Amino acid sequence: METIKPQENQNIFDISLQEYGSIEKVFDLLEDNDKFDLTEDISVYKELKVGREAFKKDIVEYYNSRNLKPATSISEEEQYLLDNFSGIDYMIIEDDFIIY
Amino acid sequence: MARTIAEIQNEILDEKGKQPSLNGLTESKTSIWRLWVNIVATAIWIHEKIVEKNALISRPHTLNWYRDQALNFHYGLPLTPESSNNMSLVWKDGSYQFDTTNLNDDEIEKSKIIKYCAVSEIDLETILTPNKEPKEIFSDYFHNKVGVVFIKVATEKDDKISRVDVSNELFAFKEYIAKIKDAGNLVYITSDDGDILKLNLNVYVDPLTIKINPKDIEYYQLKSLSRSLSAEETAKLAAYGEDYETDAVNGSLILKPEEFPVEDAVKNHLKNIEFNGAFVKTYLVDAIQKAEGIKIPILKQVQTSAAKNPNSSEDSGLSDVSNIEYFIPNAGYFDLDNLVIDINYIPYTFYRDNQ
Repeated sequence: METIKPQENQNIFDISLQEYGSIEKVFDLLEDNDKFDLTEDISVYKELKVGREAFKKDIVEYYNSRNLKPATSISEEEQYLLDNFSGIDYMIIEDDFIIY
Repeated sequence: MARTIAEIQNEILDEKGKQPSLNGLTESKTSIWRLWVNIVATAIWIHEKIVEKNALISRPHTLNWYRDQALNFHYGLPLTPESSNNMSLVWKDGSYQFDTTNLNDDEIEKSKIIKYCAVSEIDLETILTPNKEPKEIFSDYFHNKVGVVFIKVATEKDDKISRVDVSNELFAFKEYIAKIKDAGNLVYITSDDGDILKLNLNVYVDPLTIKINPKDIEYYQLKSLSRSLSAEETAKLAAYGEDYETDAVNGSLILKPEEFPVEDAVKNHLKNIEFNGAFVKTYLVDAIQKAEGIKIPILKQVQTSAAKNPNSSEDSGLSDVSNIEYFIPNAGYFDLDNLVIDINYIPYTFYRDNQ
């Protein structure tokens, strides 16, 4: 088994997609790394064990040849923006933007 | 086995085909509704995988589960005389587990002290009347419908099966089972010294293979008779006296004086009975039959008793179980060090008698 380091903003699904070509390998990936929780964040400092047979080889090749690394987890800035529903853009006139 | 995403997706698409009202949707491979089908299928797939995994790691508490848990018991080194077990039990991933951080594989293996374990479910009455004679068991019939989980355990010391040290180890083990067992279950745990077994055998041996001192032959023959002896024979036997010593070489192979085929066969057979397995008379005879130079092995008498409890002064007497075809030793195994085998070696010379 080889190990890889995740990139910034990658989650376990991204690693599965990048290494095996499908998210259907995500549970195998968890098992190889003695994890149980799908929603747990993965760390860029911690290596992950990979090296099973790819689920869809063409997709793995596609990512490899173009040097693409999927990174779909929510970044801190995005989370910040999502959490703070306020300001002009988020208000609706006569709903929560009411002038007395 | 969970279905794949593609299978779930196809099922949704099949179902969609049965709905005429959905015929108007675009056939495009990249249509938004196909993307939604994929999303729903993926969500269902993840759900199925999680359910599958949960089913895999959650085990019903069957007798086998108790056995696995017992064999997985870790006994740590006591830190102080008061603490019986310093290895902490932690609640992790939905079950109690031993905290084995900072331990390597060797140490973990070494801390697993339970090497043999037999779990059965027995009638409560059996526990309430402990000093019962061994008897043949046909099936576990629950007289009063109160079953008790009965665990017999043993460990290994100096490569020999032995009981679990009562004061510390067994106490810690009982605590452990009490913690992990289902609430309300009655669990009875024992670990005893091996049962005492005394065998009395008549063995017809090939005099060309096995050594018998000629002076002992008549003694052996008289002792082996099961009919009531005549006055003359009784006098002859009495003449040998109570403490007549037979030659120590009797029963050894002529070519290899250090090997005693009958005794070796008996010990080997007893050693190979699985833990809490039954002692079967016929199997023992079969095993002796296979030994070198043995013509007819006859098992005359079998006596057994549970090992003496170190706390009780009185010796529980041997009970004759010759009429029982099979029985299970109390402790689950026999004490091979205290095994007594009384063998009458008789030369097999019938071919001459017929002439």
